[in-house]
Amino acid sequence: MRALIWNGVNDLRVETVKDPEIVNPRDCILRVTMSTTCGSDLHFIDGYIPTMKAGDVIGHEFMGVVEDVGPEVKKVRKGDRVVVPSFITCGQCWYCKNKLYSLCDNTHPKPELQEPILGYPTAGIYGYTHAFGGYAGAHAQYVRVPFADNDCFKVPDGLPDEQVLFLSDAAPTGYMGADFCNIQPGDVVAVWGCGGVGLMAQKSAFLMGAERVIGIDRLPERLQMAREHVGSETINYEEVDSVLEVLKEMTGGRGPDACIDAVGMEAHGIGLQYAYDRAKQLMYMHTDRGQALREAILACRKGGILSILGVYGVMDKFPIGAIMNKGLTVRTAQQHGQAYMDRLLDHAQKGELNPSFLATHRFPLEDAPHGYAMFKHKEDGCVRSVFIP
Amino acid sequence: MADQHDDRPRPVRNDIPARPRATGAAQSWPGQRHGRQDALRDRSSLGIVGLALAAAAGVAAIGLIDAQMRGTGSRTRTGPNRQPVSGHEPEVERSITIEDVPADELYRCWRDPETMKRIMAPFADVQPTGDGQTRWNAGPNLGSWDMRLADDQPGEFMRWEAQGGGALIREASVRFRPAGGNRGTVVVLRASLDPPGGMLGRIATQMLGNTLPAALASKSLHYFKALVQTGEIPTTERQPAARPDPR
Repeated sequence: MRALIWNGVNDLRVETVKDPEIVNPRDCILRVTMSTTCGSDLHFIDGYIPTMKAGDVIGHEFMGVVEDVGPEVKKVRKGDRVVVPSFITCGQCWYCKNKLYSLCDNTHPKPELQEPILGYPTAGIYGYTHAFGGYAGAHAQYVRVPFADNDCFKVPDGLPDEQVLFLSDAAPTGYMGADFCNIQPGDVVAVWGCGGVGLMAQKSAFLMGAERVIGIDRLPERLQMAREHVGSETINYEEVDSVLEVLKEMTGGRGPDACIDAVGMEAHGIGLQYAYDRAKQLMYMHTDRGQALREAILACRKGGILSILGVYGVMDKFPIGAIMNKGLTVRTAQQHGQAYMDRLLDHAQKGELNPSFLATHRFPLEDAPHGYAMFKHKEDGCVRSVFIP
Repeated sequence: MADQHDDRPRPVRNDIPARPRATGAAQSWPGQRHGRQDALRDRSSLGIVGLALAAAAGVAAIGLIDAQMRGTGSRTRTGPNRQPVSGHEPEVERSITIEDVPADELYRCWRDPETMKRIMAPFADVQPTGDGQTRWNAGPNLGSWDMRLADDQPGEFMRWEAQGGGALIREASVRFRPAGGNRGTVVVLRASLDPPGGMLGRIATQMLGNTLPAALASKSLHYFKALVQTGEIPTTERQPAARPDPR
């Protein structure tokens, strides 16, 4: 089959590899109908997250049609049209039973690579470094899905692929980020980042009853999306002296009740702090540029909630004093998509959630390297590149 | 907006080969093959990961990862996992909590020769040879040896002893005890290593020097937990990748 291969830092190519096969009895094989880029992929494409191997198939946000099932698969059937969350989960361990799916204890084939960094291994992910399991990814014609009964979610008839695709990762990640905020009537929620996850977090905050949502970014086309598709107010941080002061004024000096970081380790910013972070990152002295997260911590109202969705590695100059003295509650996780999928599909069926506007650019799989380049450089207003094998 | 690039040329894809069907009973499950290659690959890749992470993580993090890799992180120096003064006979101990499975059931599963074979596959090929003995093969450098079940307390404890010289593992044991708070069963795996002598032995001691044995013990316990709770072991074997060894 054809698949998008990581061959080294900033070296992606579409190559021919063998087809996946049923390896464990609860696997299924999916014929991928659509997959999409994710901002977190850029971290290993750019070389900031180690443990990729040349020859890895990448991609973790996808949907497709079931082509084959293992002998122990009970519910999923050949021909089912399904969407699959990016974390692989068993459904039977303590973490899965407590709906902490991305922390599943039984799906990491290489726990020895992750235990030294995190203390304990997480669930495995498709196509996202060997420290996260080393599983083959989904920018391919076919992908093997372990624990098919737990991780394949059947798509109701009538929902087009583009509306469902983002329920694999961007939508549940954003939805979880808003869920973390324990939104009460009248709440103001500020979201750093108006990419796929940030826009989904903003939409989810409204679905959960936020009175106002404020999106922060620097790209005019993304801020426009936040206003037009979501109904958010927006701040372009390159056009204001201080995001903190603007947010304070917008909230009567009180600050947002909850702040969501949907940016992560490659934040852009302005001023000395950004220059310091960028310099240290270029020298590999730390992996993260944390401007968005620092801003969110300072802007959040006293006793508010900080919800972190951006992916981080190792960062210094972390203002823990502001978190402690303002009594913030910090909630964070990689997405527990399986916990939210029923609700998300319900929102989609009722017409309350349609993330298809994120799919700004479509490519055949053969053009995936170009699709990633456009996505990375945000050319032509690219929010997400979508690949069709 | 979503379709603004639809005018891009798209190749007609009618050349997609048919997928081969999986062959049910004839296939081998993970952990039944490539055990030795796994062990070697994991050792070298862990070193690479360590270096890469150290490069990425900065000075403070290097200290942290280094401490963890040496097994001196938060462990007492007098307990198991201590750094041996002589570099010989290090002991490793690792535990895992398996929720919702009683000790009796875990004991029975561990007693199954097939289980040992599968969960030890990253380290050695383990074959039952009858009379409660097993033949362990850790590859040409680290050698092969026999182990005998020397102590067997159903539902609680098993201990194995190496037979004869040249055994990398002199003694190993597994203990099952109830977890606090009604959270299932704690499984404690312990091994005393006795690396073979000579130059290769010293290299093996360095390679295994209280880091890898602990990591491998932990990996075996994770595999055991996955096998018990889900009936399978997570794997990347036989997956697509553009390199000779796809794992």
